[in-house]
Amino acid sequence: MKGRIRYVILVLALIFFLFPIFWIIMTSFKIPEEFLSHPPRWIPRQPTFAHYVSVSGLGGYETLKNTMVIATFATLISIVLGTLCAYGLARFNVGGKNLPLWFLSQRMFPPITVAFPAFLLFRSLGWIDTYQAIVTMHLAAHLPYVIWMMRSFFRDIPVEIEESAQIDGCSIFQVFWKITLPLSAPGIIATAIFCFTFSWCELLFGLVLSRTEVVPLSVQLPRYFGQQMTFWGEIGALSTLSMLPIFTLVLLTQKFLVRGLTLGAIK
Amino acid sequence: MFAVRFMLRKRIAKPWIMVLPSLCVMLAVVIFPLLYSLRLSFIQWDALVPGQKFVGFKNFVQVLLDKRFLASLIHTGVLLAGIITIEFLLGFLLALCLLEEFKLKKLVTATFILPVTIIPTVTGFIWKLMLDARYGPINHMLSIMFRRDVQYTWLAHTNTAYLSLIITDVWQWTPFMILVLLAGLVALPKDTLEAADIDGASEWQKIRFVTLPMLKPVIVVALLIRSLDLLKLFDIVFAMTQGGPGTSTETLSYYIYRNGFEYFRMGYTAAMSYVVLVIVSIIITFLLQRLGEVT
Repeated sequence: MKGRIRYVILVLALIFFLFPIFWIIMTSFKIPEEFLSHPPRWIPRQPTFAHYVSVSGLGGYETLKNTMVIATFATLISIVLGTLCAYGLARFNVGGKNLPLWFLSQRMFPPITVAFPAFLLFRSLGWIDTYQAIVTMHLAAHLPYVIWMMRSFFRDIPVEIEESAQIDGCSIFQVFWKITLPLSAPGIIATAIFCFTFSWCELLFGLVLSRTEVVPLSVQLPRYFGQQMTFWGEIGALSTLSMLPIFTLVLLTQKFLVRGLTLGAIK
Repeated sequence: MFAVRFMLRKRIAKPWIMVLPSLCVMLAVVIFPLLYSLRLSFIQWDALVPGQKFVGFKNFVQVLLDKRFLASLIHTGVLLAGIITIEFLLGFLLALCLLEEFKLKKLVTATFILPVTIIPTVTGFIWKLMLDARYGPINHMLSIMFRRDVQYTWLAHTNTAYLSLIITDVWQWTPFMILVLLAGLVALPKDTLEAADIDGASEWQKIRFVTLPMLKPVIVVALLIRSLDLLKLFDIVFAMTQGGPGTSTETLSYYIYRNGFEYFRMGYTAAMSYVVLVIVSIIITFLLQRLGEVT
């Protein structure tokens, strides 16, 4: 693709992808008269931070905290367990070719098929509206992902490095801890950031397993949309707050982005 | 490899211990609920009818005869086909535009990542606001274009509700296609394209007969991954249309959700989940074969 037409296409695409984000951010700074004006006003004339304050009264920051807690725990647990499992699969070929594929397949089924029986089981455990219920179900999605990704990262490390460490007298555990983990650190960090992002964006399990105490952001936002009144300013503020941390994190892993999004199929 | 093999022979139990915790977690959080749900699927258990009784395959027969279930299957199919086609074409076009170096390439590529990182519920509300009849910028721009006051309610009409869902998903996930196809394009061997140049192929011929065939493995993986995501389409439907108007944009996941969490039909929901699992398994098998080959 050459010439001027290429730049025209790119500029149009940038407008298409950026304008909605611009709009929601602007909405968060508009006073109600401005976001409820017809025709709409593009730039707020009297920019206000009022919605960032009022969203706190509607439990907005609470949900931001809940999302953060859920995402952190789900990520940490799945990274620890998954990395270990991936090492076993990559280096010792546990379960042959099929076990890794089985793990991966667990991630691909529509979550709703598990969400319903899980809800019934958690209800009988009395776990509805607790962090551990949501974190547990997030693990179901993250763990296969971590296992699959880390297995591919471990396979990138030449086995000769580990063998020479063994000959120098390291135990399996020492090799894993002192040689393999440091070498695959960028991969681990990228995988962790992806897990964090998945948790951050997840709706379904949060929706069915929370009531009032551990509501994540993705579940809270639709509650600001009402028949009589819609809190567009608060929706804008909470949306804006939810975008910044993840975008920053993902930019850090740009190098691994495609690999992470395609389950390691394309590097 | 001799050291690894030596280690294996000496302490055969050890590698299994590494895999065991994850295996147990997966059995507990996925397989156990699924087995429980398999049992449910043979039971009549309804919020409206007291008691639970074994009914054999009755729930499954009912699911397959349920017009609303079949309709939700079709809705999902229509959305999937529409979204994937547009995302692929747009993604491929933009990937071609980004292939050659230019000054702000890094910045532009980073910008394209933005939509992918946004919570889908948030995306749904962003576009709900964009498409708002009175206060949305889309109607405003149309008003300017057509020189009359447009106050169209996009989500209240079936056709435009579909269009809205498609635009929303295309907005969020075309960047995925761009990035993946771009990675594929960058990795293509240059000499084949140069040979085509020497043979006097036109720009279009090069894309049609050289680039696309060589890119096929990447395209297949990208399309399969998107298909699996779209089969579970739930978030933006939940945020934007709630399956409406009426039940005309109800997707598979959304209909199952309603049966389980709004109508409380336990056995029926479980049976429906299993029908969907069978359908999805077919696509998963294809994708796993591909992934097994490349990784």
